[in-house]
Amino acid sequence: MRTVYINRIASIHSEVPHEDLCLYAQDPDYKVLITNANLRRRMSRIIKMGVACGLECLKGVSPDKVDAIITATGLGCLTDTEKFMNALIDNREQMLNPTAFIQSTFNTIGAQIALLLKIHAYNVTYVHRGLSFESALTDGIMNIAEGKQHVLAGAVDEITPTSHLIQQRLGLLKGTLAGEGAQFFLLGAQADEQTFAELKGIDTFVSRMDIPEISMRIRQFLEYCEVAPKEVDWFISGKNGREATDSIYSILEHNLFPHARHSCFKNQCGEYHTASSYALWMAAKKLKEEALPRYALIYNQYQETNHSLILIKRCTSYS
Amino acid sequence: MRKIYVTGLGVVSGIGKGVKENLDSLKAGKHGMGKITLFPTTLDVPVSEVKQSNEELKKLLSLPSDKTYSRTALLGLLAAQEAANEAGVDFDSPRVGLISSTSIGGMDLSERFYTDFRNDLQKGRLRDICWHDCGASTEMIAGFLGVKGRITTLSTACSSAANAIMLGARLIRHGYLDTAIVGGTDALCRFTLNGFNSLMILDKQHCRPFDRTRAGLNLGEGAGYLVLQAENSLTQPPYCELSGYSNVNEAYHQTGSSPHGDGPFLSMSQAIASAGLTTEEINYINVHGTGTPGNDASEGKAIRRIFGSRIPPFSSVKAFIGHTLGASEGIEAVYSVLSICHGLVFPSLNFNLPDEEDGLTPETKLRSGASIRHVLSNSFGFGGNDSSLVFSTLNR
Repeated sequence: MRTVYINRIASIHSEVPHEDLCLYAQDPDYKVLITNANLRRRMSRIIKMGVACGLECLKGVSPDKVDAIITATGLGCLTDTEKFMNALIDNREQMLNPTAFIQSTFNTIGAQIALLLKIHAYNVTYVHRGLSFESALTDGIMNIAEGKQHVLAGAVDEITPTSHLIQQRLGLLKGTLAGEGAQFFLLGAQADEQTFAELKGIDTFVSRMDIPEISMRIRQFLEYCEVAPKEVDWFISGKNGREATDSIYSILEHNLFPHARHSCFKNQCGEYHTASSYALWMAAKKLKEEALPRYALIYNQYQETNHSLILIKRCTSYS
Repeated sequence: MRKIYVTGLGVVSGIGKGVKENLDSLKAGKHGMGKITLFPTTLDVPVSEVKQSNEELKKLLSLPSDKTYSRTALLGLLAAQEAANEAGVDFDSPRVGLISSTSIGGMDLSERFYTDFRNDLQKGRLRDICWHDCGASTEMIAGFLGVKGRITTLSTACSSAANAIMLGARLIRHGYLDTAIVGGTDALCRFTLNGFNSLMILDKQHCRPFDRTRAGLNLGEGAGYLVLQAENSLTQPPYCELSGYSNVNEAYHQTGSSPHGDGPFLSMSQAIASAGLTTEEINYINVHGTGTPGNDASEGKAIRRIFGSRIPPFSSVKAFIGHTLGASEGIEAVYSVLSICHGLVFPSLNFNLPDEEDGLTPETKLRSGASIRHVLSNSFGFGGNDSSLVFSTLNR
């Protein structure tokens, strides 16, 4: 794989734990980031969150230098979806305002970033459960390998009262905290003076797997990346407070990476489909700020069937 | 660069289930428009429904009748299975993947759930709402077929399936997969029907793409999948090559098309260039041609800009199958491959008078025995997401 650099990062995430079992993201001052007042008023919160985070990540980057915009979301613009659904029922299908419908489509955030900055480049949105963000990153890596220089890749999901209640009823939040947030990354073919880390590899798999199978997949992935397990000095896992899966992560920590620093991240950002984007944001930031570690491996599970591995390395080209 | 071959086709639409029924209908000029029967609605507009009920689809797929599946998943599985069977895909291989797209996911069931839920928050059947997200249908299809390699779902409104096809090809070229089952699926539902109605772009009559009197689109449903393979995984002679593709953003308006066709211009020219072709080599364009005044004007302008006075035969199949949104390029890619293999140019139904401004006339009669070496196929979506694909005959 051609080396891919993480050159800019941005995040909108929870700052303080909330009382009611949700970790709500701290809204920034959207006026500063989305300056068109009319446009901003029409946007629902997830759109503001995604667009503002994407724009923040591109701050100081000339739009004509952006070769791709790749977004990811597990559930998309739920507030708009619900708003249009309610209007449809309340008004018996008559005289509906199209705004909520237009904004309910999954590609709205990527499209709005392109529209605001007049970026005609490659633009796509991934919507695959706990692998949405990983799919976006994989596409970003392919874009760089195809010769593109600067690729914006990011993810966003929101908590709405309805989605929270439904996820509770489905038992998806047992033992854990619901979360939300937006994270964007500017990937580059070259390092620059602001580079945070090198993206070394990514893999995803879909199925229920036991610990030996997961361990094997992790070993195979590291081998493919040409990194020995003992070189991984930071192992970041998707522990979310649920005992059954947290114990799997603990066994992996103990068996595969006994010498590494062990961290989790969902205690900070909560559980959501694209929560692994927060882990990457956190890891990239740390790798730039601290002298150690050298390699960080993120292993995340979503509902025990979506697994992902993201490997990043301290950037040495510009230090 | 590695060549990408098309080795399997699967389709279900308002004009038939399976490749053969679709081809027969296209040849016979038989469209699938009719009244809405799938759900109660006060809207009176023609739509192209797949003629099988969910119960019939489950029976066809040997699925338990008492289990809940979204219609999007059932349609997708039917088409993906046909494509995979035909190509003889080896599902033991971890290098077989599924890239699927949908614009609406399991909204047909979410509507049912939400009607009860909003009256009582503890009501609404959970087995309905768990199909809501777009990945649900993809994982169901992958699980049923036994896909072991990479799986993902993407959604870029009406160009979704084109981007799924393009992604599959790129994953093969980058060495992540040897075989990719690619395409899209979307079921009709009240949510989308009302959404397009609120935008005032539904024609109350049968749509008339590129016609001067065109007044909007008709919606449809269905699914279409291709099997893409690299040369080293071929087990039988392929249909054709996927030789070019492009994805651009028009960045003009969230839903409207630019009057000069800037997005379509970019996506078509880049796709032709990526196939290593000149514009003169394109033998047929399967246009997006929804029948809305805006889309057809914009696409027509772009065609004029690219092809000048030498415009190849072109047509829109939307009057046959409706606009099938996230499935549209899946289905229409299957038709494009059939065009190459059978030497056919499909007719644009309901066309009478050329637009005063662009003066373009699509093919209105089936043309057979044509030498179709390169087909350009367009799909343009909300959010300015414009994509074009090029399919080419094998010995070029």
